[in-house]
Amino acid sequence: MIGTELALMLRRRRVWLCWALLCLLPTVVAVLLATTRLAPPPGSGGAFLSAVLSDGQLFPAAALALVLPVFLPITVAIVSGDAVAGEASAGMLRYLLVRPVGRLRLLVAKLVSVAAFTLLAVVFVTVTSYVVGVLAFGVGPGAEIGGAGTITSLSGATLTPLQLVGRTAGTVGYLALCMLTLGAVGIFFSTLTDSPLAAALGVLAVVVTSAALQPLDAAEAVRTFLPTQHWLAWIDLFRDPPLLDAVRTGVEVQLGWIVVAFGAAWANFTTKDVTS
Amino acid sequence: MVPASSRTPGRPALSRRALLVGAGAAALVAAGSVAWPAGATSAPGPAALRDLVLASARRPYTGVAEASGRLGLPELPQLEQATALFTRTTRIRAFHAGPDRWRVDELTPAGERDTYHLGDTETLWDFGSGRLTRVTGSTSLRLPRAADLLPPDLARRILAAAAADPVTALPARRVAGRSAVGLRVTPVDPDTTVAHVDVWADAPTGLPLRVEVAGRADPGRPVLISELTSVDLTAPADDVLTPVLPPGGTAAEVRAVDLTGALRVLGPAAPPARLADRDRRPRYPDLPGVGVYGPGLSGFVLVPLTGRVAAQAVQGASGAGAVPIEVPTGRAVGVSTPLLSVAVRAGGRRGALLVGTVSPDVLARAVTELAGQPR
Repeated sequence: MIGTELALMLRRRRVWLCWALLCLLPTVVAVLLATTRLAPPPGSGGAFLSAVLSDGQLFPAAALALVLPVFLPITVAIVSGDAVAGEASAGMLRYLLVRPVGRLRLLVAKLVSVAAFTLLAVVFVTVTSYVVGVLAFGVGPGAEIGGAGTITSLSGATLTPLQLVGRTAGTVGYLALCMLTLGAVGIFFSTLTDSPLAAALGVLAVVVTSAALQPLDAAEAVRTFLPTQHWLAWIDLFRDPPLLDAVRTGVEVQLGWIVVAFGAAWANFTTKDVTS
Repeated sequence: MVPASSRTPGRPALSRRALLVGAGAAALVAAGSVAWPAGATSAPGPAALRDLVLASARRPYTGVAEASGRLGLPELPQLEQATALFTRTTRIRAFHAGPDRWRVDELTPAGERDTYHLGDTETLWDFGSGRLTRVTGSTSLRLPRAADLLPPDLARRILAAAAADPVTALPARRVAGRSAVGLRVTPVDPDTTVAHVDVWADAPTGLPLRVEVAGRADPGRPVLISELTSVDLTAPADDVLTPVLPPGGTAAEVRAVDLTGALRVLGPAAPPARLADRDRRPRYPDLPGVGVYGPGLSGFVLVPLTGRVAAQAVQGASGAGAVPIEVPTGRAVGVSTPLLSVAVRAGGRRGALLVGTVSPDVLARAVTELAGQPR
């Protein structure tokens, strides 16, 4: 079942289009920065963006910060909103359920498929932006001394290639988990409606609401539980020594959202009368 | 149609499962927001705790703090970084091996600004500019920085200043996963803007973990809260306390701002021995024209200005809604925030800036007395 869902996802043109567009945005930014050499002033703009001109190896981090607030959530919303509602709108859901497969198993397969999509999306952005960054800006002075993959951390200490790989892998995993939260919410909404568009818009409504509440003093009591609150915690992995407190809290909150959203999807879908 | 279950079609099962998920969600939220009891501690009395806190400067620790200020200070040109400390939330990481060996990082989403303090030398690292700056010399008066907002530093500074004010015990609470005992300092001076300062410290070591400063305008809502969100009471490794110039970074060396020389150029008059019924305290004797008046949490500082700077400040403050103060000569205005009061006087070649945790009336009286004195 999981294999079938993964194969289905990989065969969908819109999935590949989403990945391509996600990789395209940082590439456009890299081209503009490389041609104009106009980076945001230090301390402003996206994370790492002001530093990429001197070290292209930092561009994956800058690219992830670029796609994180809007583009990545939109693609996850599209794919996860389509998970169940897409089958229903195409009239395939009842045929799918005629097979001797439990509804929970079907939902798990859908969640794994969305998880694979988010993980691959973050990996593709990271890999393409590393290549684009090095081609556009070259390697920094750290790499000239310590070899390719050596960069300067936010704290000024030099990170070895092994440290860079480890911390980048941590970032990829963390962001994939953050996006899987949206995927689980999308699957839940997808069980509520037969319209993939409505489910995707529901996910985006959650993102916008969370982002709107974040800066409000009045929302202080619930701020920790907002799904977008911890999205930038991965930046702490590029400090020296790495700071894990915020990442740990972020992982706990994201796992909580995944459990609750997937549980809600299970509660709704396993008792739903499917007519589509 | 594909029924959900041949045994229990429809609503009852849905309700049970939805309730199960709802209960699980509620349990997760409760686990994340519940205030865990502090646990049994052999709490010292408030006076003993104050002494313990004041003696905790040599306690090594590593930790992360969050400081949130709601002082409502206006944006001041060239001083944005300093005022932001009191108007926004600042994330700070501290590596404290002792009073003369520490590193404090101000963490931002776009980088970090680190201060290394080793003996008499301070070194600043700014990721944004890629610059490592070694500061030589020292100055007795400087702008506030992130390190000043760390709970241990903030608590010790306040408790040392308010040594004569009474302290009372507060209920223990958990801070950064540790049991913390609390004390409240309530200034006795009726003219102070500070309603009370609450300090919670690690019971055995006296290391302050949380500080709340509340203003008289709204004592129930602290205007400054600083808390260590995580703390480890072991000494930091030596390598994290040593600044390193990264490849491609810029090294610079600057002298600490020579305030004494700058003030001497102004040729200020000696500050009066008494202003607004407050005696001048023997602080900053090396800074000509600078005077500190009043005790601890009900004091203010007098800083001389050039006539041009003072006139600009008066004009700018007037445009921002400052209250005019009637003075015998020149012009003066006052600005009040929940914790700090500010008054500026301009007139002739010299002016004066007064800032303190006293009511605006006290500063208005001080400005009037200053304007009436021969300069």
